[in-house]
Amino acid sequence: MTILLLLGIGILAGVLGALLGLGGGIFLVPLLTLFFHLPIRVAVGTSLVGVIATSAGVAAFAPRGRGGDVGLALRLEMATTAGAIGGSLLAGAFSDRLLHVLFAVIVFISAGYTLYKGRSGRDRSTQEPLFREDYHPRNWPAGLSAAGVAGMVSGLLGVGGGFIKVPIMYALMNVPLGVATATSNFMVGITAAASVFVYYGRGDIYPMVVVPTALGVFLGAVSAVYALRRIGAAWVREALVVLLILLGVYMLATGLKL
Amino acid sequence: MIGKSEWSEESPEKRLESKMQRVSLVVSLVSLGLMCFGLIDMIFSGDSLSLPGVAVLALKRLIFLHLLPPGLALASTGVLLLGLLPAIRVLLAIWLYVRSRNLFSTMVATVVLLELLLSIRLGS
Repeated sequence: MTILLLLGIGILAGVLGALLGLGGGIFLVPLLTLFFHLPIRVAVGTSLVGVIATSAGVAAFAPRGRGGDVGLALRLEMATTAGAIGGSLLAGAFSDRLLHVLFAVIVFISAGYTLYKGRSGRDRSTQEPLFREDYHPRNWPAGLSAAGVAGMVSGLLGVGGGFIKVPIMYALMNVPLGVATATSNFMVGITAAASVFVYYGRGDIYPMVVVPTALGVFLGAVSAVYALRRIGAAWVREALVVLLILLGVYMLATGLKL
Repeated sequence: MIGKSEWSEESPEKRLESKMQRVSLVVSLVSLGLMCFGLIDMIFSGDSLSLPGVAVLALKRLIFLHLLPPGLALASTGVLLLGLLPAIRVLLAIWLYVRSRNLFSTMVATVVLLELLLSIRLGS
């Protein structure tokens, strides 16, 4: 029964993570700690394997031209990983409360800008396409700087940062939302890989937890790849904004100890 | 510069995507298969189903596969293989960029790989 529950949680995290380009760790850690009372290190270790499974599922089953923009991902990842290394080295210098408030502020800015960008300057009579091939990423200096900041926040808070990477690509660099989520899934896989061996080496990964969860996440991510063929950009954008606002409220409440 | 509008059937980006798709499919299916067989073996060997159970085997111990409980060894190998997949994909990108003589992208991908190795080293 427990294994089936873990499989179900994995499927849920995989679907949402792959649809929104977040990897799924942001859902797995709270679910594993709340429902299974697992220590946070075990939950994070499991979630890192889950994020890699999401990334693998999207990469393996995406139709041609929808597997993400590898060139864009690698260029942004250069800044993100450098920021993440800096952030993890600085992590001890800030209080937990300040980090939570900082996280909330960045999440609210991302949500607001994504919403503004999605609703401005578009012809409402035509539906915004989720995937396009005729795009050219722009605002590289701002995009790379924001990716560096996203990486620093990831390193400071120990999260993948997909919730910042997607708005950067979509709202700041003019990348279609579907391409941004697929590219973010590729990027969060790299970010997770950088940490997963640390958790493996420390013995924080348990097959009885990680195997059903990773299998569920993989199946969920593959289902999301097929769902993305049918849903529109507006749905993904609204879902992302709602999730960002909920996450921001939770982090702000934690930071201010409400 | 890197927009997909420049893609043609034979472009390096198309080849990279296609190869990455195949590698991701094979590696993820093999690793998930190993993990599942390992878990099934652990359950049939009488391991407790209570969470979190036993931890994965350390890398050094995996060298002596024949001395280890097979279920745990298979599951641990599967987790390691899945964890290596993103690095394998970056290596594949480097290889294809080198073959297409795209110096700038080769350098970018190499920097990402080095940063990945550095963060693993710093973390450990």
